[in-house]
Amino acid sequence: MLKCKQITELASNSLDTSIPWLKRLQIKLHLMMCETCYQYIKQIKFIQNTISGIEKHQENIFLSVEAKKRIQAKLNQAKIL
Amino acid sequence: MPHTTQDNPESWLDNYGDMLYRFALVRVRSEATAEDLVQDTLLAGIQAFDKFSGQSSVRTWLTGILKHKIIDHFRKNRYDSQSLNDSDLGEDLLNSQFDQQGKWQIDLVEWATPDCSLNEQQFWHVFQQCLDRLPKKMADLLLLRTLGDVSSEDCCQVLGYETTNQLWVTLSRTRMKLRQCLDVKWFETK
Repeated sequence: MLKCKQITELASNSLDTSIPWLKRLQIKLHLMMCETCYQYIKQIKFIQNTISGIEKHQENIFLSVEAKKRIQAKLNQAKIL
Repeated sequence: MPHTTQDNPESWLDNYGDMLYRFALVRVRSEATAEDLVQDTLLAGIQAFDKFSGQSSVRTWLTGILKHKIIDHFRKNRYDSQSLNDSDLGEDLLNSQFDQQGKWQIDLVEWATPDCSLNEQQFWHVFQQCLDRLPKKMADLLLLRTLGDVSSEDCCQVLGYETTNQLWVTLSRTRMKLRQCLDVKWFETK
């Protein structure tokens, strides 16, 4: 039987790569009995979703006017434009 | 190849500069570095424009160039000198969370309305703070992998890891530390 410590690590791995179906099944069965692991996994999944949402959240961030000027100058300087 | 206005390199900075900047900023977490990467990407794009096949949009194509520039950036900032020690990897936290048998010895309280937090500016501030408290290598790795642009092989190479197993362990510990930080700094205060 896998212990909570291993289950949490496996669950994290499953967010990064595909893990064997038997391991997935073990996680599932464990979660039916273990509320703490269930909460832990729910929370690291929330973190995962939060990171995926950072870009959307930053939609109101723009290059500063100074940075744009500087980049434009570099592009001109490269005499390519 | 027919050029629309958007395809004209002279308008790239105006059309795509902000988009490229945001893409870089979330990954490298430094305004100055993100600005440099935008500049390098546009320069490289202009130089290689004759090789642009038109099969993808200019936007996608430039983003592709930027992805390579970002990986190069991490590769150049070699992490060799910052190999992670036990404390970085959260051994203490791990040992305080689990007993000898690997069973929980703490209670995890359900996070109240986590999805609503995403609408709160303060939450994002705390989230960023918690990311910044992680060893840089760990935070970089989590962002690159989660945002899904970098293969596990490239991650290993950039981080100087021999096996992907090291990668998965590091990511697991990174999530553990980030979870703990959010728990204390945000959800416990709610």
